[in-house]
Amino acid sequence: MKMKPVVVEARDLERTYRRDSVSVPAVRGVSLSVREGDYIAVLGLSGSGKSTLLNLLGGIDLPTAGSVHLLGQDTRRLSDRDLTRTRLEHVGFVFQRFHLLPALSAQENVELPMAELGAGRRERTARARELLEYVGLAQRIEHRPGELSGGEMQRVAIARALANRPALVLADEPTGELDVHTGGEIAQLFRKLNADGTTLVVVTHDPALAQPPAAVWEMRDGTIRPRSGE
Amino acid sequence: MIIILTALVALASVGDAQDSPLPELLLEARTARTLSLDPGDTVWVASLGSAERRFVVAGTYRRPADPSTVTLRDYRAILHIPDLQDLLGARDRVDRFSVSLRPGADRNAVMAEIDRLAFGAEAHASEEVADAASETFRVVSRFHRALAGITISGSAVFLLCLVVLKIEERRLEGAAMREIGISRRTLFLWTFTETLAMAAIGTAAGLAIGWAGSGVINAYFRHVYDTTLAFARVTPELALIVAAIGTLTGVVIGVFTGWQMVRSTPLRLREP
Amino acid sequence: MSSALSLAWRTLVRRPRRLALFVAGVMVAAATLIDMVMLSEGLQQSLAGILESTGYQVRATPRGLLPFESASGIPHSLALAEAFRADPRVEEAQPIWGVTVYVSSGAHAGPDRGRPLATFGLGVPAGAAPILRIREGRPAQPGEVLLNPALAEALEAQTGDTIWLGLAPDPATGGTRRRRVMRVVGIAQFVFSAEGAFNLAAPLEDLWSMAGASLQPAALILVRIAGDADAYDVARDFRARTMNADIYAIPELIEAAGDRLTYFKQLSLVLGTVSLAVAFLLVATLMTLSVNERWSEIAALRAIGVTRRRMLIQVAWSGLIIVGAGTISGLGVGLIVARYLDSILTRFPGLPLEVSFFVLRPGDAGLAVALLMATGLVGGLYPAWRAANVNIAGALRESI
Repeated sequence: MKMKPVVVEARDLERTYRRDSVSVPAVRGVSLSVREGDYIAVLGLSGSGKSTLLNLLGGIDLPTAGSVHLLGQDTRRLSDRDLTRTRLEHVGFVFQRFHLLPALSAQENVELPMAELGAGRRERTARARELLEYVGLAQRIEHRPGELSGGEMQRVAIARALANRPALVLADEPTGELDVHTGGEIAQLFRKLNADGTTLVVVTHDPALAQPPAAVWEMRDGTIRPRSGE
Repeated sequence: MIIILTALVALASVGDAQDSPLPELLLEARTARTLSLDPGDTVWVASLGSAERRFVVAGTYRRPADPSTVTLRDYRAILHIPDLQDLLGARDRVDRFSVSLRPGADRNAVMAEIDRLAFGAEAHASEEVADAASETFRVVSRFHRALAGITISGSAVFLLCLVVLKIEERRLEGAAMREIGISRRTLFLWTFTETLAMAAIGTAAGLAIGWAGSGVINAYFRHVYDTTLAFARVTPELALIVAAIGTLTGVVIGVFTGWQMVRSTPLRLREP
Repeated sequence: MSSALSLAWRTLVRRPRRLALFVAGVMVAAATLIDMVMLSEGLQQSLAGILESTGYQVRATPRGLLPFESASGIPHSLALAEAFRADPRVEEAQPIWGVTVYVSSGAHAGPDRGRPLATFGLGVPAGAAPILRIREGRPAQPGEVLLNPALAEALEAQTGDTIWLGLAPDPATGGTRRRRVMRVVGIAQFVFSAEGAFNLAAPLEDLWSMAGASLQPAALILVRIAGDADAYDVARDFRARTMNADIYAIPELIEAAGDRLTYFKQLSLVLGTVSLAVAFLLVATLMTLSVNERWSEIAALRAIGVTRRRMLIQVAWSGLIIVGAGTISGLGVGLIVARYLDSILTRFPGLPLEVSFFVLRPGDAGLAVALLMATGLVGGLYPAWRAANVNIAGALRESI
């Protein structure tokens, strides 16, 4: 069977922070390949380096050593402008605390990355409505974040992440702010996304997000390995 | 009784005094300095359209520090009245009389008598003259008070902005304090005291800047106008007024902002 | 650009009360700045307006004196006026004199037990009306006078009436010597007249003959320049050859007046600078706090691909919106406050009625607006720079 193309690849990844002249290694020697259509769930305790890894994979942060090749490009060799453009066009982010713009409606929040990319108004509106319908919020498109529940806000954030048809969606504890039931619904939505062809990397505590078809990896003290049995 | 006649005369330096006795005049120090004249020198003096006459400089004087004439850059000399009348061809003419009354004399009766007898002259009490001369300064004073009003409103809005920002910054902190059982009263006092302290520090800093500024202003204008007058002064009374206004502003805004902090429920405070 | 502006606007209006408060703060600063800009050159411009409105470009006054400061004036003024007229660069020259006169009318009972009213009499060439604004009637010919409204009211006189005009007060009779009857031919306002002052205008020759002023003095000679001739040149040439008069082009006088108004200029400079500093602090504080509040939101926007430039523009727009709204409202408030302050300052004793201390020139208003907008931009610069350079990973980590 033909191998699917690699979307993002980490090699011998190191990320060390300096705090008050003390070096704190957050990610140590991580190597990982994510191919088109993969669904990777990274589990680990708080402080294990999951979010740092996600930031490195998405080009939000740069490695201290090793490399990240995002769609074949070494993130360390890209200028901030090119890295920003790469994120806009090819990576979708879902955050634990949603980070929607409170001044904008659900539809406008979803339109934001498309507007940044220069899409026309009609195209943006149609795509935003389509995505909101896809995540089950067809009736809430005019509502602002303050008028939505946590689960609804996360659905809007997922729709926003999909806006520019990204090659990769990265989610950092997407159910961290939600109750078990709502978290389960979001996990269901992620499985649907993957089934429809979206490449996903999710870092989480939530076992619901680590259900098949997710390939589960575990992080501990900055290192990563596949969960036994995977 | 003092009789005063003023006129514009032209002065020209001619040199040392001659043997024959000449009428004398006094030169204001600035006039003497400009013409390079010293006591004992002689000068030509003329009025517009009159013949020139020679005078000898008897001495120099400094104009008393008078706010109403401080911006005037004219040159002055004092002549004996008959000499000045001769120069002007206006014998028996004066601009004004100053009249001293005997103890016990009825001033109003004297003024009425002068008005009745001397048509063309108006008698005024010294206080009225001083009062009329002070009108300019009363206008300036009113203007400064109006500017102070504008400045105070501006400062109050500025202080309000700062405090509102601080409160918004502390909404979550405030909510947390309420949730762990800190009373509204404590929270109110906390906000109120902070606002008052901000107003007090601002007032003190403003007074210090004002005091330093008045020194700079006085030095500058004394140099510009060659005078000993004080142009700006931070008096104890003024400092008290400023402190009172600053404190009052702090109290009013402190109450307002303290109330803003405690009137909401912790849940409302947590709302984005 | 437009989406950055729209986003900035919508972010600001999310907190309408805070926005209103900050706009009010900038408004006070803007109003003060506008007022100070108006005040800095207002009196000078106002005087210039009065001087220029007379339609004369050169002015001669007795050497060392302001016009009408003394009854002694430029001697032989007709000869000097004739010398001006003989110059091909000069179109017209009008001598004007001023002297205290005493006026009474038949109807006038007077506040002063019926005694003649002391009035400032303006001698102007017969049939001419320089520095007068005639409200009704026509210029005075020999034997005729124009009264200012205050005097006409005090005398209860109107056009067509006759009045008694005297010059030398006579203590013995309580009246005046050298009296003559004059006919009122109109009502006119003297452009340099103070509020409530009594003035009349009569032909020069009438006043000279009544005063026995054989030297034909003038307190002022106004000169109108012909065509493209240069007023500075005319003034300089005549100044060089005239001993008894100071002769200057009107712009030179305006400049000299400006030198004497140091107080207003200094005050304007100090308060104007303070206003700008307050506007700067307000914008910088609000923008800094707003950026701090939105720190994780800004990081998220950067994470999803919003460029640094776009972030910078968005925050800068926020500052400009606040300053723009504050400036527009401040212009209106500033004009109202200027009117109030002007009503205080124009009570200076002896000030001409038409003088104003606050004059708004389009250029000055433009300067004030530009200064405020620049201040808003500079005030928002540091917060905008911080927003653009947010450490995305760090800010997102801190937000959890």
